[in-house]
Amino acid sequence: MKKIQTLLLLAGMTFSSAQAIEVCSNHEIVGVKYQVSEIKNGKQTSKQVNVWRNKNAVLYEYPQTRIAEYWYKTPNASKEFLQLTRYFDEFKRGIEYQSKEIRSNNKQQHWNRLYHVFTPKRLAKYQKSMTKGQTCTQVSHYHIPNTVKQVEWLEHYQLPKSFTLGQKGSTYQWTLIELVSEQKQVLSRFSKRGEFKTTDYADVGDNESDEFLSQMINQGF
Amino acid sequence: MKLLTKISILATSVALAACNGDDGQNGTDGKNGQSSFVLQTVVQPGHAVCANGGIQIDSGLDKDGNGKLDAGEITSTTHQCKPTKTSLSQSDLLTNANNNWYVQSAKSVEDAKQMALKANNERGGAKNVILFVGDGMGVSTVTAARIRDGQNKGMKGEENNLSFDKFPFAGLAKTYNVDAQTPDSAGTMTAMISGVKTDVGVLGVDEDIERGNCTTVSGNELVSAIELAEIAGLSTGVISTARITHATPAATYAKSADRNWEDISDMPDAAKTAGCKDIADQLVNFETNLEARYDGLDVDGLEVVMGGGRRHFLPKDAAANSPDARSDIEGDRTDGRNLVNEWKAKYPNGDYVFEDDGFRAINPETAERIFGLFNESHMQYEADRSNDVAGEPSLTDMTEKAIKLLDNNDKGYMLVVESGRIDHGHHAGNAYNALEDTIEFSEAIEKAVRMTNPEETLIIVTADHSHVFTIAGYPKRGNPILGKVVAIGKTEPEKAADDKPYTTLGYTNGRGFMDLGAETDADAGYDQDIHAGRADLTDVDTTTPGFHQEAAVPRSSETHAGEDVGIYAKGPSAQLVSGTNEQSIIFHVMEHAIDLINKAETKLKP
Ligand SMILES: [Zn+2]
Repeated sequence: MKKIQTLLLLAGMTFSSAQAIEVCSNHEIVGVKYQVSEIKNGKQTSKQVNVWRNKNAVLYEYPQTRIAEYWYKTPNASKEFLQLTRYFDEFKRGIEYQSKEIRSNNKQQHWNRLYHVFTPKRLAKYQKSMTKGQTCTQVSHYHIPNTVKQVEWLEHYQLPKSFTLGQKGSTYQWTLIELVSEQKQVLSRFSKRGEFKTTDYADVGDNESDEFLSQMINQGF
Repeated sequence: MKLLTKISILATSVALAACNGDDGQNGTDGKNGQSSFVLQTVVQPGHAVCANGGIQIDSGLDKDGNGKLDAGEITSTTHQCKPTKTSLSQSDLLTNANNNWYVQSAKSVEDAKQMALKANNERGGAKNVILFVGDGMGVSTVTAARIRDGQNKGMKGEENNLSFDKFPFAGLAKTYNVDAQTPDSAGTMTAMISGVKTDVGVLGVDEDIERGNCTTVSGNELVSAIELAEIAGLSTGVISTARITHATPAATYAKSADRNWEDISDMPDAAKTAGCKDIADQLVNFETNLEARYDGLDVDGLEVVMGGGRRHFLPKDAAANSPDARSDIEGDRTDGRNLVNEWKAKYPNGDYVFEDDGFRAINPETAERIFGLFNESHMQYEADRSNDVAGEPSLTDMTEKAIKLLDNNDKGYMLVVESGRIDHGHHAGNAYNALEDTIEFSEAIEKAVRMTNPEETLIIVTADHSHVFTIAGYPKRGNPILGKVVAIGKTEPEKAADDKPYTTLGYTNGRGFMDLGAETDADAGYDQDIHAGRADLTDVDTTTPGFHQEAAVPRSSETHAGEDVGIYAKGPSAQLVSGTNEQSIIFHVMEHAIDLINKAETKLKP
């Protein structure tokens, strides 16, 4: 039996030191599942977002819509370095977008947001109040005084355990519900989509006879 | 302005004279008398009766007493015309003759006369043929690109000419496919390169095919001009800025029941089992396949193949990635084959290149053949070329290198050059890229014109189909073509009925307005929404590369259009391009120009 290194981070739980010798799992290959809640005009909505990280690639899963976004950062490329493939799990198909088709001028910052979920640049504007836990499970607390804005930061993974944005009465909150460090489980999320048939976004216009694409053309994607 | 002169003459009522004898009873009052009118109207030169102008005189009675002479009340019309001229003196034409438009167009007629006199109708009068295809380059695209190019050069723009605007002969092509009013590139390029119109989505096969059904290919294959040129012993080349396995270039060398079978992973199992080959495979094995079809034929294969599309030639294995790979795994092939290596093994003296440095290092005067795959998918838009990871040659660079290599053959050559991404710019609803790619296409054509002898090389420029792209409103002369409509005499943009400004360029359908040029929020991500209809463009710079024009009908992708496209020609047999034609005429003009079928047949005779 393989040892499953899945740590459940439920509310009120603290990191246990279950492992006798603490060997930190690879922070470059990791999965984090978040509950994303938004409160606006007294109404609360929530959804789940799963983020899977594999070195130069990050996969965002949106289970509600069965859509996943695969972001790949080309190594050693200064300009055209960010590729996006949007996977439609229901159809086992994907659309590939090139860097220029991605709505962002600052690709590096965009990548940082994807990789860290919360950009370190933004975090630098917050005040650090305390740090708890051992090396692998260390969590630092950050906030901006007199606002609702706060972040719990997993130092080893450089990922948020939780963060809250917005203002009183209108907040946007990400809370970690599960951290997956078993590499096989993380990589399977990538390899599963790698089998899907993909289409270059530039080719969509010439492929209206394709049932999936024509459906997407009418629905918008 | 007409001068209306009304002269009214008051009619008098005359009382009855008294008779002798008793006076009778007074009679009833008589009716009022009618007024009579004479109407004089000044008529201008060009009038049906008074050719040089004069006065028209209408007369009659105002029967209905409404105080004017209505059309139905006119009983007589006469004219007093100015005297007619008996000769046209020089001074009469002075205003015309001193005008530059007049001088210019008179010269154009003289030039046309000379071209008609010199026209070479001889079969086989050309040694070489170059066919340039602008994918999706409809007439509105040509016009807008011409203006954009002129404005880039500091001109007002409209008066500018693209390289092929200056070609002496032009005609129109009806682009519809056998089964479709609005066509696609596969059916249209098959028509141009094989002389036979066919269905949407199929390559190198006639209309008896069933799209996607491999078993219907056999017996319906067409012969392409590139194959005939190859058999005839000419040098042959195919270039595209799209993937080299994409519909337009593929129609020159492949036969496929579906344009999307670019590599084996794109094919259904039934097609693989039935023995159909993917398009990339057909490209690498072009020579072998052609020789297999004709007994005893020995050809030397394509000398020039350049474009994008590495993904279809490489196995799905990161180990096969090119040094400048964009994706983690570049190749798509699921059969484990590396067609680049197969090509290298087949042509040990050939040069395979994947980036600009390697391309530049090739000496075309000594090179035997070039296989260039410069991108995993399509090559970059010209405007983005400088952003490419390892660097790509421009369409002009590729055209120049190709001609230098191909013209080493004394028997001549046939070259097909596609600007493949004009189409993609339009599908994305982004005129900027469509126009910049059209301008680069024009540059490549200019290069070919300068490098070739007009007495031995036929150059044809055309498009496979158009797009729903319009040049609208009443912008003043010289108004930036990517800008908002500013009317004659105005400096501020016009407003539509919704009180918002609007751009000159627009699309009938598509994604619609997007302003990526001004987007600074890195968190925004890729925009999923379709924004058809109107947007407030008041504070938007519509001339940036990231601006996407508005569209009326919401769709994720803008569509092709069904109107005719231009065919522009220069060189021997160019005069055969005239009038409105089925698109398949292009094959026949090329065939006539280099006497392709006879040359090929001679070669096949034992
Ligand atoms: Zn198209």
